[in-house]
Amino acid sequence: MSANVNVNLLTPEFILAGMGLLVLSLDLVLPKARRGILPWIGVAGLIAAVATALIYRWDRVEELYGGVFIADRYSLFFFAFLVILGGAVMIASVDYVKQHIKFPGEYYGILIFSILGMVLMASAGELLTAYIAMELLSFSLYVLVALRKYDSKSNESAAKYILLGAFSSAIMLYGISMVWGVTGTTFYDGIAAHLTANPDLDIGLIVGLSLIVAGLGFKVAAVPFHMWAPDVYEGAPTPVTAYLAIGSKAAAFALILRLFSEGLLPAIEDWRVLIATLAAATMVLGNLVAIRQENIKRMLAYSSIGQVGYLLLGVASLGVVDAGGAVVFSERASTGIMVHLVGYAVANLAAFLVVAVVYSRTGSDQISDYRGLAKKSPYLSLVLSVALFSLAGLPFFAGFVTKFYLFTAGAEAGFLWLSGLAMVASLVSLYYYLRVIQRAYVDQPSEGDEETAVERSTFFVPLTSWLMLGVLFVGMILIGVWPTELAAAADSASDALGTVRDVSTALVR
Amino acid sequence: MINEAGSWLIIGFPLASFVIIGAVIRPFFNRYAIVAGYLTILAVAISLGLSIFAFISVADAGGNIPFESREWLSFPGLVIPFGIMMDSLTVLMLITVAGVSLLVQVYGLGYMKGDKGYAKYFAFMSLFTASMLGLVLSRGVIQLYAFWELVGLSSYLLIGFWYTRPAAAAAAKKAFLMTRLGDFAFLLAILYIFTLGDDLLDIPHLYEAAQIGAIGATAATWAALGIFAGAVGKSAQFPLNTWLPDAMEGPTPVSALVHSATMVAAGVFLVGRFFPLFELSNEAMNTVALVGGFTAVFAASMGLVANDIKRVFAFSTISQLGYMFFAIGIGAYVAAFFHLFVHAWFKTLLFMSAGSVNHASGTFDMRYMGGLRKVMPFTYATTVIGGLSLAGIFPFAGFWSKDEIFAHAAEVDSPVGWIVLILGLTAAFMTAFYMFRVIFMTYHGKFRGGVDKENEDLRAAGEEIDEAHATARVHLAESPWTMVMPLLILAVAAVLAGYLTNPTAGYGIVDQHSFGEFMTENHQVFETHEAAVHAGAEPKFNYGIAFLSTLVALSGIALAYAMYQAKLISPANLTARFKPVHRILINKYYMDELYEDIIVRNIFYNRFAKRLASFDITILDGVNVQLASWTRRFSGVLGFIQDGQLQTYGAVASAGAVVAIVIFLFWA
Amino acid sequence: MVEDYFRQYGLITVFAAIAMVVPISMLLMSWMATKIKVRPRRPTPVKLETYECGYGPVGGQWTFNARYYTFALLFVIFDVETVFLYPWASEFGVLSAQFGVFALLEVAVFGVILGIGWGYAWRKRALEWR
Repeated sequence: MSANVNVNLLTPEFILAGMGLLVLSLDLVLPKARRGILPWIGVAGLIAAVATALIYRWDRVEELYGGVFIADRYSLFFFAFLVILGGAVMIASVDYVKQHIKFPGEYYGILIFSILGMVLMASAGELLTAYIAMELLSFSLYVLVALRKYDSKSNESAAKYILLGAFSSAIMLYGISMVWGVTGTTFYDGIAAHLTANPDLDIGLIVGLSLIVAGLGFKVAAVPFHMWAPDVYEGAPTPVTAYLAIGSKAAAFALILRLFSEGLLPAIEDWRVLIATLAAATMVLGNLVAIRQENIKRMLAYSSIGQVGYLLLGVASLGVVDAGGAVVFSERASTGIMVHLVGYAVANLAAFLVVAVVYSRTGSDQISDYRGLAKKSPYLSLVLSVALFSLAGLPFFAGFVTKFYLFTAGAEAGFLWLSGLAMVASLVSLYYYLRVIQRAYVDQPSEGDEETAVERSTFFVPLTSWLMLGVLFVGMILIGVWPTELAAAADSASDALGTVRDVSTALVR
Repeated sequence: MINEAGSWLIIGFPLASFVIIGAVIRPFFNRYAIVAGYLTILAVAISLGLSIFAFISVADAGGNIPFESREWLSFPGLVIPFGIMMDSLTVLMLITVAGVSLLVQVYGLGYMKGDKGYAKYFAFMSLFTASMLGLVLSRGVIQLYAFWELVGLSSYLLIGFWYTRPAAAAAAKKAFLMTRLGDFAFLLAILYIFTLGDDLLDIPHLYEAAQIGAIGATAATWAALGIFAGAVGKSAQFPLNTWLPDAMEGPTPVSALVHSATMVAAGVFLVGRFFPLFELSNEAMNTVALVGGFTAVFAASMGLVANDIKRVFAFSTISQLGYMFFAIGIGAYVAAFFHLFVHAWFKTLLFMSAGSVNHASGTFDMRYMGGLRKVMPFTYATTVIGGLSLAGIFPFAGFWSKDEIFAHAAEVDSPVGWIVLILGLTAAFMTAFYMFRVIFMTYHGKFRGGVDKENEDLRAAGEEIDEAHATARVHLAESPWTMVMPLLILAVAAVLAGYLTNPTAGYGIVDQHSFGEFMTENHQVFETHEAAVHAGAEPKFNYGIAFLSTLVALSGIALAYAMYQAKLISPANLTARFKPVHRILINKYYMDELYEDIIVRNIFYNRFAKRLASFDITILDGVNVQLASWTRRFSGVLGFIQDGQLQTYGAVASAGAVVAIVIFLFWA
Repeated sequence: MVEDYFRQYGLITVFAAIAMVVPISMLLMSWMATKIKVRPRRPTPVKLETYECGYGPVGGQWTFNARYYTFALLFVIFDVETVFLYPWASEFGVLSAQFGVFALLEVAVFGVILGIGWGYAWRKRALEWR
């Protein structure tokens, strides 16, 4: 270990870990009635962490422990994005937790730990660190999914999630060991150096990389590694479902993006077809199967599988081969992925929050029970419609801009067919989104107007959820109309990926 | 001279009206919903004023006022531009849209009176007008696409305005999805254009690139066909035509504005906007011409037998849009837009008259009308003027525009010209026939009982009576002045608008060829004089063709007279004799059945999606019996996996990993 | 490279083959020795018991109380975590020379985290036999 390790660099992560512990232990000492304060302490801690990170790491490019941990603009972008996302999920779940979950301390504490896992996934510069960060996230999620202890559905989905999660971790770990066996390193840049020096891939490396892809495919729920997702999404508490669908996916893509652009880019010609195939299968299957779902959580699960397909299209387009045969990193693709992740996160969170609120009132997740939602709560159905339109990619909402950007990257990298397929898939997605919107707006709530009036008066949206929905609503419109700042931030993050870091790496790898 | 801020205000006023109605009036002052109507009218009137000002400015500036291209989004390597495109095509559309919209809003004031969603109606109308104006003012391709979708969205909202009626809700969804089908190709074309060059998303740059030959013919063909597919969807051309007749479920003013004069014509506008690109490719142009020509006849034939007055006009709209497309496809740019301009007035007039008739009889079914000319003389007179114009009888507006198209087609030196000319004349005959069939069935003869009789018949047939029919009343009187006045104004326009083309001589303040020259002044689109002349800067007039088309139209009218007024030929006998043909026509060539029952429900939904869904759950159970039974025992030990599906998930994933390795190995 | 790769697996295969052949051949030899009456075979009931030197199973199966599970888990967690203290203690001299008081603080943090975990278990009554 060299003496110049700057542990202070990790301050934001320390704050996160400390907050997790603090929330957990406060839960032990606070009286039951006062535990409502826990999420707000957590949110304050998250804000402190983001602020510290932004101030402290703004212009820093550094590596810790010889490249295990990387602090650059890319890490910073995802730090801010993921922590804010986690905070949003935390606020969004306040009302739900109050009603349905008996362990608020565990819920919020573990949520913060999982956020720590997510941000480490984005900063890891080495396969094993990335793996451990991913496990921190996964273990937290296993607990969160199971938190409705007395609900058999929650239990079932937790069991499935743990078993398949362990399975995928094992696959991935095996892949990492294969890669290490062939290249002698687990550092991304070391792998890149090996790939550049040996353009013909060793068979062991191929198997290893395929297994890593399979393991990551599990985490992002790409076809054919997606089958756990709908069951788990359906059974998990709704805010956790939102978190699973957005947070864990965003973090996994943060990892994938760094791994594929810093580590595997030299061999892009070899793996891009595999990723493109996965992308095509994912977007087609996800969107087609979503059509037949009657449970809105399952529908959103399949639709988020479809979204993964679009993101994988971006991954397949990460490099463009120039005239001289050299692989050039495509900043457009990586920026596209990041921007789309943000747009997708905002819209999907809004949709899930509406689902959570509706569940709290009606006790049902069936699409047929969204009948007449517009009459009962115009606000909820407005936000839901905008969220679904955004997910479908209609202009003026976030989804259009981000999808368009992502698809141009695909078209530029020679995947015009895949971009076309993605657009067909988006068209299909509009079909099942419209089904929900039609239920909400067109169908009558129930017989008799008097009953409606009564329902409307009791169908109130709790203040926290109301405000959060408002913020998300504005976010969806804002990204749709003026995404320049977001794109600039994502772009500078891509810059960090594209350039070789100029830091002294004293250690021999 | 209009400046850029002023141009934005053209969109801004209706948009502001939408926001104010939606955010202030509807939630808080819904009792005074009438204010929403006045506000919308005011906003649209200001937009119209600005549009006229813009028209004068553009005429002074020689067909194009170049404004700056601004950055909407700037990503690395991708700048999405936006801005104002102010050329002759834009101002023509501006005046058409704002003008028709203003009259429709006035008309809606009376027509929608007493409706629960009065404020909402005007909010959506404002939104539609704003987005339509935004569409024609767009300079960036993405900006154009965004407004294009927004127009589609507001059309969706307006068709489904009476959302408690299942038919309206279904029609709205159908319209939205079918137009999106075309938009998908449009978006793909945009992506493709983008791959041709980074700066081509700015339309003037695209024009430049097309003119200096930076875009190859093949590339232009694909891009143009993609754009055309978008236009086909929005303009309801074959084969995406089935949504428009159903869209008539919306309120009548909506049909008049959105589904006859403006939004559906946006497809023609789109092709016109990308005209330099289309011109690079013969294949694309011929496709446009043939699809347009075919649709003109195809849609008109369905109009021959329809009994719903609005649906007849819907088929007529599709057919007339077909004329515009084939005109633009044979290069007759000016004629196409002249027809668009003229058609907007007289078709709005016809739709409004349908609404007026509905006001009196309570129904849209012509079999229950008749004799209305006595109770509503103004409506009758204006309908006849509109009808003569649609049929293309001298000296009404439709005659001039249609004749211009035929004269062009006759001069085209290729088989395509002859094909579309014949198709066009056939369609002209049918048009004259169904138009006068409408007039005779609605206004002549005896009154056949209106909605009361219709409900009686429905009851007798044991069918359910929907909300629209249950609440309608027969009220035999002329409509209120807010509805009649727009009709009169439009009737004047339907007579006079034709003279703007003045192929042979100038008329007082309007010089000869002035319309054509105005449309082709813009050198970004027509760089040389020859190109401008070819596109119709100097209108052609051919006495032979004029005579022929008039003869065709008159014979159509004569046949309608013989069948429905003089009763020389019995429609019932004719129907019986041509029963198979009649059945095909009345069922709209079974296209709905083909699309919905066979393709969507059977093939796509039941076969494809269902199979995929079941694949997702069970298919590998059968394959992996061994593994399954082994794991089932295992799950028995664990005791909490009741459904035995987990092993399937694992098995699929493992198989997937193996496939991934194989794919990787194969490609590496 | 690929040949090299397979050669390595080949070595493993050879090793596995030997590992299987040796015990099988031993059992086989013993069996053949019985056949040629070199090895006597006189089974008695006592000899055929599973645990020849122990007690035979008495009564039916019996279940563990699930609480043992919690305790075992807690024990393992704290037991394993204390193992981390050992290498730190043995290297403390070197570490404190390089990092000073930081080396001590780091372990204090570790202790605090452990303490919170213990407090959590206590508070949640995981240590009570209910």
